[in-house]
Amino acid sequence: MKIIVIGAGHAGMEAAYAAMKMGAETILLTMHLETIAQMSCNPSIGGIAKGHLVKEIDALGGIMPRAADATGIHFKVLNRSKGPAVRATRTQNDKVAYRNYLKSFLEKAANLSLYQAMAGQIVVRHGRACGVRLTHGEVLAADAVIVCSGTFLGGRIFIGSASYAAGRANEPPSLLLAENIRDLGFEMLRLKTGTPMRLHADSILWAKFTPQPGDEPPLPFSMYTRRQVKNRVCCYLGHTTPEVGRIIRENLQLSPLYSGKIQGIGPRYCPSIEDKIVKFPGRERHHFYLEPEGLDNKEIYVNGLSSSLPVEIQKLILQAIPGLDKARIMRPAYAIEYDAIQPTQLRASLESRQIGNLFFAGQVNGTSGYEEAAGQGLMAGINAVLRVRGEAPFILDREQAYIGVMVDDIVHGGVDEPYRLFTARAEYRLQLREDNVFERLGGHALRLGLVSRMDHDREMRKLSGRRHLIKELSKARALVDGKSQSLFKILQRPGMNFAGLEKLVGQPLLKKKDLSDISYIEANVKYEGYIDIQKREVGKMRKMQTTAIPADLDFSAVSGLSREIKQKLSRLHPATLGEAARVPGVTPAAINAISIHLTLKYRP
Amino acid sequence: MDEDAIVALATPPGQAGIAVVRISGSQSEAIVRKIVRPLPARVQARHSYHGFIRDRARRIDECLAVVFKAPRSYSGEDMAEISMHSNLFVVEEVIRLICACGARLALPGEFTYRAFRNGKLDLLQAEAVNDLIRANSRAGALMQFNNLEGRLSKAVAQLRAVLLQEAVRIETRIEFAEDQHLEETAAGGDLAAAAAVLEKILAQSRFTEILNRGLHVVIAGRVNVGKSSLFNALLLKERSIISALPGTTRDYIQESLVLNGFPFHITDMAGIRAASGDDIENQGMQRSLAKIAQADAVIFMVDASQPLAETDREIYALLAAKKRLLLANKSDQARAGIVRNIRAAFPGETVHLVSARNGKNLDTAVNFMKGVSRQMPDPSGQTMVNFRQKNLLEKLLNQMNRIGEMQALGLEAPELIAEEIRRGLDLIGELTGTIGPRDILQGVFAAFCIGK
Ligand SMILES: Nc1nc2c(ncn2[C@@H]2O[C@H](COP(=O)(O)OP(=O)(O)OP(=O)(O)O)[C@@H](O)[C@H]2O)c(=O)[nH]1
Ligand SMILES: [Mg+2]
Repeated sequence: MKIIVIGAGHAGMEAAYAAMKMGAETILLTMHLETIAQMSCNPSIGGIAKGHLVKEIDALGGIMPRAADATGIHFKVLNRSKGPAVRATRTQNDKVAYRNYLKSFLEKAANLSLYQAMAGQIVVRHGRACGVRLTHGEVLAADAVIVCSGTFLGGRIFIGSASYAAGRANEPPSLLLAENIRDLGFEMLRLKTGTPMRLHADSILWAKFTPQPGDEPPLPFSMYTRRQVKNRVCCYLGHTTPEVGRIIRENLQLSPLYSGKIQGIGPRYCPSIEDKIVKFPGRERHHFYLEPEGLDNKEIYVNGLSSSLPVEIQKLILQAIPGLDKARIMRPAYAIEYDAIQPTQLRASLESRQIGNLFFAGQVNGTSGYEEAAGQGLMAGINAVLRVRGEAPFILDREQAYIGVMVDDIVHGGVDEPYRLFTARAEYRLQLREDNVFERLGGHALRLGLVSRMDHDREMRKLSGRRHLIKELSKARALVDGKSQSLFKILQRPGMNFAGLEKLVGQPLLKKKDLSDISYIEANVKYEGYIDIQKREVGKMRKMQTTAIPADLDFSAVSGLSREIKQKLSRLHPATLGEAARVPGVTPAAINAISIHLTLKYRP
Repeated sequence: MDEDAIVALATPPGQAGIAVVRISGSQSEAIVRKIVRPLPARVQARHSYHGFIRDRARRIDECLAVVFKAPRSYSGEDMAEISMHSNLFVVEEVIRLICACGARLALPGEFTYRAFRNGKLDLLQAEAVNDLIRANSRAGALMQFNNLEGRLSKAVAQLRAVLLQEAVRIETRIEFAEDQHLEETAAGGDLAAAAAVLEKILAQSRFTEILNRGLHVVIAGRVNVGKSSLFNALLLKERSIISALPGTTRDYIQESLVLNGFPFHITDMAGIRAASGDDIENQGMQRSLAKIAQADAVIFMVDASQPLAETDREIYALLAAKKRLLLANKSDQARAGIVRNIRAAFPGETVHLVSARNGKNLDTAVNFMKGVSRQMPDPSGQTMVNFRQKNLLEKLLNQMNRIGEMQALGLEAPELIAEEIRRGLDLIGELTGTIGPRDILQGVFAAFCIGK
């Protein structure tokens, strides 16, 4: 079995690695071997919801979490003081080390060939992808092709009034492939994103900024990371001044975002500094972070100042910020516009609906973020192999994993701006935690051959230990407020936590424990009632979800649907009411109308 | 042709002089053109045209026809209305004719359902239409009309806004407070004020229930005092059997009557006396006692021509907590000493001397009932809440209180509070339509300046 992955970014690498592990002879195409696994934007992995995603990737045997640990220089668990469901890990990484780590990791993998070449055309025969034609003329045959081209499809960079075709600063875009995908009949989107300037570390007056140290002790992402990770750098917090606002307002017409040059839709959750100034005129200052891009590297990423203003204006902005007034720009901020496919053209397996054995993953599907890309890459890699084997696809449900939430959101809902994961997108947030990824996904990983039996069994023993302790908590009792209660009930009390419980009992309840063990136990005790309710909801939802919409249903014959909804549904033809309900613009009333139509028309 | 045309008689069958037949669906005008002539080549929407309904050459009736164009119609679709004479046979024939032209009979409430689906009404308003049609009092109709105007919808929309605002605040804290060091916190929703609004709506709903079912008034008293005579006099018809024989009325009889635009259900029932050997009569008396317990008001009658009996006092003792009117009947045969004794037996009560047979002083009973209805709150300005809505509003109130309590504890468990808020929003969704987490995220993006 041969599988070709186009693009060696965060999606492509996971796709190739998973496919290889499942036994496929895998070719990973990259335009530039030096920049595989490049962190094009911030030097950081994880964060809220994204950290959850990385842990899921870990449970499914992915490589991003290991690389993040191996090259991490700053580790932090966010929301530590909030409940276990919303705690999430984030690392700052040495960009160069990250890239090098993954390159050598993949170079060592048997059955996986890194190949520097540019894909020009996907070879399609009888409605199936069966190879890739490279721009230098060579044709590679394959049983399945996975497109992970990131922002390279039709990419165009904007800095002020200047613009040039590029997939990333000074790297050529994939114009031929973009054209080819359009020719294959895919509906395309034009999206936009941006990245801030990188400054020289020695030109920054660090004393002006507030240090943001990592956690002590730092905690890794991966269950495979055995060595102790270390914090090696500090990040810094700073603020813009009213003067920055004035400069931006005066020069707004020079921003391609506001002059109308950029047509693509940017993400609202990640606005450029000019967006923020325009959108929040009342705010005097906006914060930003200074994040080191590595250890042997003087580049500092200015998180919060992404912009597409001309470089002269970027310089003026820096001059108006105390501490950055002498800062030297090493790379200017820029905005990039690129093509993505509308992901509603994909199945939940990430396979194209119209062309068999052709998969898409990552930013090309309209998502943003390394983690989102990696999660999709992993799923596409697995499903490409299953597809070639003729087996059922591996699809995660919304209540099983954030990966499931994300894939379901994009393939059924489509995107209208770069899609980012938030915990608020999950209906069953309390169940989708970092601490229980193994419980949720470990079995699948073993079955699919993504993790070894040994690793699985080790994690299983850990899980059994946790479960055993929870049972013990119901049996053991202690005195609080003069009343004897089970430790389970005591832990359920508002304000009580695991540390408090151990203090109360006067001895450690778990000998070797980390935050993950504690979170797992706290969640299972404190969320008990909520999770029961959610499980019942899942049952109800399942029933609605699975109400099948017959393949021959003529949506134009359903009375009461607007023309727009009829067109959308006819095009997408959702297989169930649940899928239909998630199509944007489809109202509950419309679902009602369809369900009435179904009962009237198809009732036996 | 995307919509089935549907047809129904829009006015109550048989009662009025004019019957209105309604058609909805894109074929409406075409159907009218097939059966009503003459019509100009281009009809203006919302104008009425005089013509005749024809089945081929045969004239069936004279009529007025009005055509409506989507979306400016009740259902939001193209519609037509034909007004004709209200004769059941003619109406039936016209509807049959319309069906022959391609329409089908509307399901109950289908016009309203379509209006709801086309966004002309929200669910609460659609329900109000339904309840308005079935409202059995003027006050009820007024309150339903308030609902139709969206008063309940507005109140619920406000609650939703408060919960959403609170959700935005909490979700923002979860997603961004530490990830992005968000300095600012959004103002949360004022849950306490929202809960107070809910409580007010719910407090009115008891009143609403009474309005919907009407007020229950029973005529109670010993056997043979003249209860059935009063009952018949109030109804202006010979409904109950009257006889000089004590124990004439065996089971209760209920009739309805409208006073001041308010529905009343008056119950005549078996007179009460010391248990006799007669099983049927005993059962009747049991029922009478039960009816008294359930009544909103009681007209208690004694006989002014007979000495007061122990039974009279016993019945009176049951009425302590009831709105009541005391009547001494048979004033035409009253004896001064007896009347004095009666007045003395019920200190603090006004005993009205009446004659059910001669109709003397019976307006005291009518005024009493009107007075009871006047004690109900003023219906204009109130919103009607039906059973389903009440049930959900109660759950919602519980939910709001619960959220308030959790917040008062000041715990760092935003994910659980968020969970409770989602449940609250789901309840509102059940009331009106629905909401997904997307709505919350929209709010987060709009309210904050988030990002790299
Ligand atoms: N003189 C006189 N007789 C009356 C008057 N009202 C009722 N009666 C008579 O009293 C008798 C009993 O009247 P009903 O109305 O049947 O009395 P009731 O309380 O319904 O009696 P039960 O059903 O047996 O409990 C009848 O003969 C009536 O004609 C009145 O105002 N004056
Ligand atoms: Mg009687």
